[in-house]
This record gives sequence, structure tokens and C-alpha cells, in this order.
Amino acid sequence: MPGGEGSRARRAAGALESEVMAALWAAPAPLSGAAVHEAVGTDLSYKTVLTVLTRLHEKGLAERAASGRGHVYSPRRAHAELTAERMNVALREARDRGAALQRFVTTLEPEDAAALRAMLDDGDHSQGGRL
Amino acid sequence: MYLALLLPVLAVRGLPLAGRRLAPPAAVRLLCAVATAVGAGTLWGLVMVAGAGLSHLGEILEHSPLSAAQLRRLDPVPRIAGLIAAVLLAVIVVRVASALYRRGRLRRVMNGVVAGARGELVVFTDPSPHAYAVTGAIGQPGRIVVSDGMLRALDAEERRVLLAHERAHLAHRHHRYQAVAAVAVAINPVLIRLRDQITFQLERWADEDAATAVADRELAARSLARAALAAVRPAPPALAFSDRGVHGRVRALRSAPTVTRPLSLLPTLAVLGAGIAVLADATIAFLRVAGAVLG
Repeated sequence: MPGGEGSRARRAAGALESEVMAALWAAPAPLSGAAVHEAVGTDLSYKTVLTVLTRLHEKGLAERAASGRGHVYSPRRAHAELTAERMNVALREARDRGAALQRFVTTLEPEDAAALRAMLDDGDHSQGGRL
Repeated sequence: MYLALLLPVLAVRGLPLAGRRLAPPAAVRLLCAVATAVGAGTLWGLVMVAGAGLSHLGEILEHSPLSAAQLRRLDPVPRIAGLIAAVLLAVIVVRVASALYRRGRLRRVMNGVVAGARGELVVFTDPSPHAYAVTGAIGQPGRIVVSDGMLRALDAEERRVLLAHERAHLAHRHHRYQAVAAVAVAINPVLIRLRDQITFQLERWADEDAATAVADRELAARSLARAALAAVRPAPPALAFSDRGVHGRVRALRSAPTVTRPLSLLPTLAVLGAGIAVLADATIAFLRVAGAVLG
């Protein structure tokens, strides 16, 4: 288990690749190496991030375009649409058969949604923890 | 003997209470152990009732050295109870087979989704937020399947929590516990609440793992809340099995980590012990009768 701050840099390469890909997908436009570096955490070296980006490009997961003196990166979308089609089939199948997929979140009751929204709004002030 | 039918209900009632005082991994294991015990107990109980009830019939009776009256005295299980138990057993076999088929089928479909993926993370284009952990086929690594809508709803730190959460599902092979729960429910529907508890505690387990991975419980709670709220905006699907799971998980992350207190298990273990005692008693009676009939 990764315990302290120092362990982050030694994370598995696969996990770091996932994080960088997630950042590329979340961005509305292609990102420069520096922007990706900022997104995934400045506790990693810029060089590490560039290495990961290069590897992702070589694997065909990210597209690279020249921009100014450097490159910008974006996710390769072709595979994602194929995946989306298959995913829709899978989700429909799961729903029809009442099979439960393991999922990050389920739906919310309105009052629960309100409580969570309130928590996000003033999350910075309260410490929570006393129930 | 028939009293034993009440015990699983008691066990299931008491468990959420015990579950709240256990760290999630311990809670999951306990709940799965109870589910297995109740499921196995249900099966064995039905086998005994069916065996004892139906032994009045047919060839066994004709070749038996005992008279019908003697048999009836030895074995108080009426024929009709035996018949009902046999029918229930047949129903259970069908339910278990269909539960296993559904799980296998879903797994094949999900493996098709991630076929050809070259990384741990598989993204699909969908504005609504989805995130799933997909167990790999034999020899294949597990994949994290996320919609781009989910990734856009979260900031970089929150995405780390999401990835760590799904990774925890894969690393701890949570699908196995789910399979145990699904089979147990197929055997004894009384266990539905227990299965829901197992599902909830599996999510809590992954939440805690993710919080440890980013070394920040508050961040983990925030990510979860953000993802859940992102799911609200597009109309929730009509078939959504709404639960209060997410709110409970967020609350748990914002309070102190649960430390396992073995004493909190005592009531559960007492009920389970009683169940085993009743079954053991019935088993002894059953074997005595079987011995008499066959011998």
C-alpha cells in the first residue's frame, strides 16, 4: 500500500499512465506537457510526465500534434466510440437481467443530493467527523 | 427444527449493526461467512426434511424392516413437508444456475467491452458519469472502464481517488465476494438485505483504500460526493435501484476510520451458533432415522 508522499513518485507506471490519460480525456482541448504535469501533480518531475506522454503516444493511446516549440496531446478517440457501443450493449444487458455491476456511485435520493451539495459547498470550513 | 427457519432472519437483522462496528474488509468477510453458513444450512436443512419426509414412500418402505407405524414414530416429518422441501430444492437449483449464468454472461459482455484495450484505463464516450471495475478473463489484467463524462466531472485529485477506488475493487478481487452473496441469495432470499450490506461494505472497502492511496479522507469523500452529484443532473435511469449508499459512504469517510472491535461480533456469533446447534441436532436425528430405515 502506498503510504506516504514519497511513494507517489514510485507508483506503478500503469497507474501513472491511467492518470495522465484521465487528464487528457477530462480536458476540453489538447494539453501541453506542462499542463499535464500541472494536472497530475507537481510532486512528479516534468521529465517523468513527458516520458509517460511519449509512451502513451507510442502505444497509440494519445495523439500528438506540434504546437509552438513543443507538442500538445489529446486522447485517441476512435477506440472510445467502439467501446461506448459495446458498453451500451453491456449496460442494457445488465439492466434487463437485473445483474449488478460494481459501480462507483449509484443514484441519489433528492435529500441526500442536497446534503452532499451542502457538504461540497462548505466542505473547506467544517472538519466533519463528529456524528 | 422448524424454528431454525427463523434464525437466518435474526442473523440478517443483527448484522448491519455489527457491520457498522467493523472495518470494511472484516465486515465483508464476516457477512460473506454468514451468507455462506446460512446458505449451506438452508440447503442441508431442506435435504434432511426432504429425505425424512419422502422416506415414507416407495421401495424403502417396502423393504424396510420397520412397520409404517414404527417409521412414523421415529420420524415426525410429514410427507407433505418432505415434498415441499424437495420442490424448494429444485427451485433453488434453478435459481443458483440462473444467477451463475447471469454473472458469467455479464462478465463475458464486459470482457468484450475492454477487448483490445492497451492500458489499465478504458474510456468510453458518454456524457453521463459511469465508472466500473472489470475483472479480466483468466490471465488478463483487470480494467477500469470510465465514461469521459465522469472524468470531466472531477478534478485531477478527484480522478486519482476514482482510479484508486476501482483499482481496489480489482486488487482485492471484490467480484468473488459478490458471487458468494449472489449464490447465497439464490439459495435463500432472506439474505437479500445481507447481500446489499455486502455490496455497500465492498464500496466502503474500496473507498477506504482510495483514501489511503491519496492520504486524504476528506478528498476521498469530496470525490465521491462530486461523482454522485454529477450522476444526478441527467435524469436518473428509471430502473435505478435507489439506495442511500453514497451518502452513507461519504459520511463514513468523513468520520474517524472504523476500528474492528471483536466483541461486537458476539450477538451474531451467538445466533449462528444456535443455528448450527439446531441443525446438528436435526442431523443426528436424521442420521438415526436413516440408519434405522436402511439397516
